Amino acid sequence: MVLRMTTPRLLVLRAFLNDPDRERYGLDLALEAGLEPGTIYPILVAFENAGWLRSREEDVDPHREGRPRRRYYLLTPAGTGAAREALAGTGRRRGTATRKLAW
Amino acid sequence: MTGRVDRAVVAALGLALPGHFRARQRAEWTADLLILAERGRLARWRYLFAATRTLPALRAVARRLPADGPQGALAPVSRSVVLVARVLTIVLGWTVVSWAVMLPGRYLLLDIPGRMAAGTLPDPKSVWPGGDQPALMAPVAAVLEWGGWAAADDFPLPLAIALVASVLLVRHRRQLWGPRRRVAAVGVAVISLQALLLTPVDMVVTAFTTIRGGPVLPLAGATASWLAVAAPGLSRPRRAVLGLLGLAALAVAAVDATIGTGMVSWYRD
Repeated sequence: MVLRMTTPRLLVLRAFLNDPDRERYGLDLALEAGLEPGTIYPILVAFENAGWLRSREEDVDPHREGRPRRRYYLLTPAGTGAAREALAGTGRRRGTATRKLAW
Repeated sequence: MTGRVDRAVVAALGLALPGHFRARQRAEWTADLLILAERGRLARWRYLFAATRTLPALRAVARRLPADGPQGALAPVSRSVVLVARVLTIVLGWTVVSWAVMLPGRYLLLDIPGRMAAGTLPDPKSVWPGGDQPALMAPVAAVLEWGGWAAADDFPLPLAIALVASVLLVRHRRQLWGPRRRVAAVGVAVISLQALLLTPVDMVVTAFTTIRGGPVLPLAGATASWLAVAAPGLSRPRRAVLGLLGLAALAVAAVDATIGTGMVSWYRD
């Protein structure tokens, strides 16, 4: 599935690729990506729809923890590849733009 | 803690989302707001404003998210289902492991059929973990012995289920609602009464009918297998363990009633 890449989406992918094997929850990712907290969920769900992410609820008792179960997100192998490609593509375009500017 | 206003806003925002996704997203927002509570009211309001601003985008993508399946939202699971799943995991785990060790494990490794054919009948109580063993082995032997009986003769199972359910219920209630221990006491009483009624029935069914092994083990195995398939709110590892134990329990009941009758007769000796 092809996703339109926006700056917030790229920032989230970069945050994931900083440590692709670590599961992260929404707020944690938003802060790491430098996004305004509260704006990240449409991005995460779009990636999940595309098969780039999988998510799971943490296995804790919400009553014991005193909070709802967190949902943890992890890049799928397809998502890791797609994220690297998307970020590399952005880098290439930026390089081309820089060269054009230089000329 | 999040304030009443925050909770009301989260509830209202959730109404704009598809039904299958609503509980999941409300849980996400609520958990985030609990963390942001340390940063003050302004941070929470900014968060809620940002969530409101991106709500149409979230609604659009959430509508395409499947209601179930590996990438979907997990349905909220009831406490009763979790309790039943935990009880079955513990009781069936104990029964299946004990059966594997005490029945086929000993029967085959110690060559009981060969020794019986040679004219000796080794007493199951005299071979490992029974017989001359260190005193420290006694509790392990007792646990395995009773687990073997649960697998072979069924009757300890209702009591084991009642015991495990009572312990889990009491622990659970004490942690959650200290003042509501009376509810736990009533639950334990009901479970114990059922076990006390079921145990003699189970013993009679096993002893005086052609049903070999009794009905509780296959019933518990079938319930565990069904929960593994039909309770999507449970985590995937928990469902996998339940499914495996359910199938193993059904296999134990089938073996006991067919090719394992000689082994079970030896164990009952």
